[in-house]
Amino acid sequence: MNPPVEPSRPSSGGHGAVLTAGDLALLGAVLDRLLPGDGTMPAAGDTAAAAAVDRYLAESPALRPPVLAALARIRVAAAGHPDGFAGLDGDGRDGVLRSVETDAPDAFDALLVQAYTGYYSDIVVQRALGLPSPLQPTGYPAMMQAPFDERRLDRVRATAKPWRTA
Amino acid sequence: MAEPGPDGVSAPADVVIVGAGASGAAAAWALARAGLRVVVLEQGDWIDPSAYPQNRIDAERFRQSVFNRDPNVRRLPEDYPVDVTDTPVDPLMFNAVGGSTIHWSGHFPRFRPSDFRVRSLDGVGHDWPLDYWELEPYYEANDAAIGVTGLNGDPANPPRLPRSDRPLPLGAAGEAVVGGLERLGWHWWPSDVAMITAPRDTARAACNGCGPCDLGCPVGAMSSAHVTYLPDALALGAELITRARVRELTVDDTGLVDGVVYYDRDGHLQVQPARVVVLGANGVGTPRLLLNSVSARFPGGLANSSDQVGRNFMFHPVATVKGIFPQRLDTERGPNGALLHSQEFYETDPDRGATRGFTLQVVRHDLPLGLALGDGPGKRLPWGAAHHEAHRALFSHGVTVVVIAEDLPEAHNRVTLSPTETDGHGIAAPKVTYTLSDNSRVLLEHGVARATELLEACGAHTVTVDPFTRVSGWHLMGTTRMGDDPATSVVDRWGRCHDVGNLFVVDGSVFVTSAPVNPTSTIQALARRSADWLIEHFEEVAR
Repeated sequence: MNPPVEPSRPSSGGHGAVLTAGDLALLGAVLDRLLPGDGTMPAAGDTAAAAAVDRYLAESPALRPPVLAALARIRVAAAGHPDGFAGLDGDGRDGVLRSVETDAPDAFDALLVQAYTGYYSDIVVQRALGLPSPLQPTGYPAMMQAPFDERRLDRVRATAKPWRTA
Repeated sequence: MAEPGPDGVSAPADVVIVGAGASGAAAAWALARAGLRVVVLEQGDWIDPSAYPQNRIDAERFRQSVFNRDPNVRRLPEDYPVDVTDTPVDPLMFNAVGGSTIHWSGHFPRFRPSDFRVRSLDGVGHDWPLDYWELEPYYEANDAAIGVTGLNGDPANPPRLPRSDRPLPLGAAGEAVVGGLERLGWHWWPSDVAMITAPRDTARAACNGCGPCDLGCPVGAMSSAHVTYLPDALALGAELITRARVRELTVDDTGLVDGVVYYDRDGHLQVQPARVVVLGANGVGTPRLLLNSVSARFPGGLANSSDQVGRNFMFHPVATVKGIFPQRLDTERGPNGALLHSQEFYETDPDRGATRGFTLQVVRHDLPLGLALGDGPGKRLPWGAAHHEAHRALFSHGVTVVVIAEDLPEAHNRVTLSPTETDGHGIAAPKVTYTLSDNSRVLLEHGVARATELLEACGAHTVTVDPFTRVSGWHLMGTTRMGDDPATSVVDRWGRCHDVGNLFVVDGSVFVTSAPVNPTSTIQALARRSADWLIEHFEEVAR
């Protein structure tokens, strides 16, 4: 098993293990529409989610066909603009994604699962949620030290139906 | 054409145990302690503690792959497929040293005395050939050996000794649910959990509440077989062979089992002779192995003259009901699978229109990726601008009530051999055929209604329901039923096969009925009871 994954920097234009530089640029733009920032949570493009998705595809070849198909569908759907998906404004990008979601639901869902996985596996996101990242060895030891107040069970002790004799 | 002979034959063992999970490990420890030469064959490997997903920031991702509960999803070399074309519930299991006790909540309730007498009391199912009181000392000994948190004194269950470890804290989620239970006046009690809250030895630290127990416990706080019985069994001289895929049990001219044939980690066929064989391969793996062990003397499978091997398969039918609360409940913190339970509806109530009952088990289950993907009774969260608001409403704000209904034995619910699927060694895979009975369906409906009532009484503003959860087949029971009559059961009251006097079954296959509670404490108590009987009668029954 590999050591804990540290956050990698957002893609800076190079190709990934599976995805081309163009794929990664498109994926990054897509991720920002799927998971935009909102002041509390970071936008996916400000995390290492795109690089993580590329890594998942490298580790699990079975994931590649639907995810690559989704990216291809997005390219086709955005082909009406000379700059493709990147040339569209926010509403235009969302419209493209909705059309792919409708026309190729399985491929789109496969992409969405990997997008969510990459995003919520990112240290920046986890810290924004207040999680120890990773969960071990930190855990929540203070919570586990809290005593159990047995007086909470007084009513049950007094009124519960006894076990049935047999 | 005759099959090629084995590549190797090992020195005979007194006892060969198939499976290094909850039951096999408990039996191995007891038998090794008695001085018997024990060999344990396990198709999985040891899991390096550093390999558990909680050590990684992408821990949840592994639920989708190598740490998934479903062997049909994992598809690792040590897994075998399960043909699920005719079951609405997926059987879940884990193949490694420690077995499915790696992938569990550790929820550790006992059966009640009434659970052993369902025919006498309620006119359904069958009575067990033993009663609660015969098993009670083994429950106690098992709890003490492995470490169990909890609190004695529950009036709804027979008395038990003080638990080895203090009960788990309720936390904000528990306090919210207890508030509802108190308003409704229902029974509740902190769950007995196979876990330690104080360090036990150098290999087992106290639980630090990291959360997803179902991914295994990196610190050894969960009282899983690979950190309890197995190390002690090995210290006592037991031998463990990993990545050993047993193909079949073999018999001698007298009809006694004389050993097992297995594929080793390099794919070579090996023979392990034995004077006694013990099966602890779970309620699917054990009947599969018996049905695959065909010989001239046992053409219908080993120990199957009654045609009962594989029949009476029981899951616990499960519904999951989730409440979303306005306040933060910290449900991402603390052991996720065992917070507290209510046994208010445990026994038969004629007004329900169904026999027997159910337990309401309250669990935490709120890690961020699972919420986004819609795990449990949820749905994929929306993408786009609405995503974070939807996620914030759920994350740390949800409590799940799991409805666990008692399943009754039915002959048509069964494990057979798949006509189409095999494992990586070409051995026929098991096929599970299961239909939810009308009785179980009614129990689940009542359970969903009561769980919803509870969550609303606690203050949940939204309740979502999965009325019959597919990915819930953790408890695999009944497929080599225990009984006094060889015509209607496979093993006797000691787990000894009626047809083959030196063959024992110690896993959940021997259950006569299922009770509406998690089975592992009963499985391990029965395994230790069988082992004690075998030790006392070894020379009588051994080949």
